[in-house]
Amino acid sequence: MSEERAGRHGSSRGSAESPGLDPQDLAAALQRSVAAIGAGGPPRAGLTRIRKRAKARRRRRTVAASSAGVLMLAMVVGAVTGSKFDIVPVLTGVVGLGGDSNSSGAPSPTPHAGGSGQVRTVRPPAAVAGKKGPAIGPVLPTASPSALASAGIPQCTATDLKTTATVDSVINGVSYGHVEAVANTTCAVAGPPVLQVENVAGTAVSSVVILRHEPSDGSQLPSVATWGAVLKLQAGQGYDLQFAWAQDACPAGASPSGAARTGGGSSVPSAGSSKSPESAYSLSYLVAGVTPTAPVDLEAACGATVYVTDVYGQGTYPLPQPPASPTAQASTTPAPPTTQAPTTQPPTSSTPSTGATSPTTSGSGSAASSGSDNGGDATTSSAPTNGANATAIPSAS
Amino acid sequence: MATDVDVTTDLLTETYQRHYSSLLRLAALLLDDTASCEDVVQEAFIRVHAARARVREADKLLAYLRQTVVNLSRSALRRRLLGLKLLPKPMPDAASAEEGAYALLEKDALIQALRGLQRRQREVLVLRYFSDMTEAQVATALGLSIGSVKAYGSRGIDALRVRLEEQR
Repeated sequence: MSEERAGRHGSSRGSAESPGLDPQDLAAALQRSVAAIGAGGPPRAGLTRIRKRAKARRRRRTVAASSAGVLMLAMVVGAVTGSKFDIVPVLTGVVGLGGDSNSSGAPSPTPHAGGSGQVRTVRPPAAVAGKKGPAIGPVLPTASPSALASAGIPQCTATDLKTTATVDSVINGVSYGHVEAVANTTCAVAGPPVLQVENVAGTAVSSVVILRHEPSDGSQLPSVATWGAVLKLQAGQGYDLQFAWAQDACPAGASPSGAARTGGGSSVPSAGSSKSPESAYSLSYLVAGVTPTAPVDLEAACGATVYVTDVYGQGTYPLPQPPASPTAQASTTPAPPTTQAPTTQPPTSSTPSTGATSPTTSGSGSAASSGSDNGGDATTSSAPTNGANATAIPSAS
Repeated sequence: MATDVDVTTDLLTETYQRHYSSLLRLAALLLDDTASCEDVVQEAFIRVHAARARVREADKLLAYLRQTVVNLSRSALRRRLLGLKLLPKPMPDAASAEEGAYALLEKDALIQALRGLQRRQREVLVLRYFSDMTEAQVATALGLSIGSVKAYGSRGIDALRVRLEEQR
């Protein structure tokens, strides 16, 4: 052993050739110096203690890893849902809109996001968005809300109402419109409204989602206090609802395009308008959740989000007004679809305001009662609108 | 039928019984703070126990233990065992069985001279001459080249000789 050690230490022998400090002597001296340490052998309970500590350490690491996993999962869920658990999609009772083309469920901003008054297209969680059927509004399109029973009068049907759907303006790329309905006879209507969106390609179910308007969604729709109000209408009285059509952002490589067109063919100005079976949509208001009214034509290249308010007494809330800009005016006369720049033309008529009795004629388009709604008024049906205020009855729900 | 873990556990037990003392002496030579030697060796065994599924050969197990002791001693010298001192001690009020031996160690001229060396020189000398490792093994354990091990060893012996002569 000593010879072997001498051989091992041979390479350092030259440098360690000093009196009294030979490598072998150094090795022996080191052994002697620490010979007393550990002479009694390892502690008897030492190995048991080591094993216990190793297990405890492994347990702590497992707990830490599990906690980190739970934290990461919570963060991912929070990022996916955007902490908007209260968003409930408005789905039509007919086609069951609400399918989200964005399978990840992540919020997808509109191509026009970024400025004031713009709509942030906040998609609901995929689990909610994928549902079919009327998530809000009447439970079933044909079912009368129980609140109507308390009104003591029959529910308004399509024959009882004269409805007019209009796209009033385009603000920051978001098309704003409203629906007016005037009763011919005494009847009651219950909110929330049921909208139906269709396109020729039949992809509306997966590309368009309808949401209840919330103040946080960034649209310029009014904050209607109710959701599911019951309006008791006398003959000549009317009610309104407003909607906003926000196009979704196209995936990378696709060029967003879209425009809102009236039913009569007037184009709301929008850049890069391209029409295809997938991008041309028609939005209809379903009276009593059953009977569609004349649709409003809208466009969205890559899907859209519709925000809708509850029904309210006619003229109670103002229509969104575009910012004062010389280019904000839009033509109310039919224009070629290829028209890109908006034309400035004052509205030729005004929509009835609360208590007003001025009728709206077909083809001439309707303007908001404020007279400031510009840009592609779309009158899909005309009706004499004797807009007396409706009586709001608190919803039973 | 014994599993790999069982075999390694038995190997760990055998290694503990055979080499605990030598590892404790190794730590005593590397550390300034002799009171932490047992903690370092115990920590080395805990780490080996946690990684026992990956260690199946006795030679590698001992080499892994030695390297762990060296690394922990180095960390202890840097941080003065701050982390290990915060760990709960198994018998905080009980005197260590090695206290008498440590007291002798503090009086040893060679140990005092050894502690005056640079850290690298001390590590090379201890592993080379006390643990009887080859230059290649020392180089592997310390993450150095063989040339560096030779250089540290040569200069370490020279410095140790000078310090011993100064103590006389």
